[in-house]
Amino acid sequence: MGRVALVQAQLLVVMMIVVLQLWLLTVALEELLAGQTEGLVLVAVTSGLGFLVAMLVLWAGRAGAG
Amino acid sequence: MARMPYHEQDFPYQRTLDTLVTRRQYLQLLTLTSLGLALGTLGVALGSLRRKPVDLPPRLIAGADRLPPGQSLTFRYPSSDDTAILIHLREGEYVAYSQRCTHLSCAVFWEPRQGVLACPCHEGYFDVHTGLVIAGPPPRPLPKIDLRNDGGAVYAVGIRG
Repeated sequence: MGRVALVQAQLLVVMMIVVLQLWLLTVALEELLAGQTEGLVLVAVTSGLGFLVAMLVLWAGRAGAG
Repeated sequence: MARMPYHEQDFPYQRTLDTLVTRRQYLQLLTLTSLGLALGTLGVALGSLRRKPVDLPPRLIAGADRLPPGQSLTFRYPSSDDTAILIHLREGEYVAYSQRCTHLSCAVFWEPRQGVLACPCHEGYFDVHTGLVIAGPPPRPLPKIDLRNDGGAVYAVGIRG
């Protein structure tokens, strides 16, 4: 029962990260089309950090499941 | 033996033949999606870094010197694929913009009665002096074309936005 809850929690966290990354991608495209490219690298780094957190969540779940 | 429910009799479902995705597999797929989105955003950022400003040669806008105040004409700038619109304002000033609406690329037109640039597709409106969005769904201002008046002849010398 605890293992199911852990996996569901992981799913919820990673889903939220994916939704955030989708938003960041639309922001990046919008800024590119508007010709405002100053903050794009920061947006890309933030999205990359989101992926690293997702990987951490996946790895932590595996480690916890033993 | 219990009777099968009617819906299972009409639409038999062989559960053992189905390939189920476990929550763990779905989690792995989501993580892969996260990687794809991160790479996509990185690609957009890198694409912006590769863009270099291009010096555009001045282009004479034919017929601009004969355009009456309050009227508009269309021309091609910076390339032959890019339509643009020149407006001779009643104050005597010339302004020009890309004719491509920033919403879904419909051609905007000059609406002299309202004094705005209007997009007929989804009723987007742009301020004629600045190109800023006044109303409707367009998300960005119209790219403004820089003009130079040389002895009555009007030249397009650059585009911003």
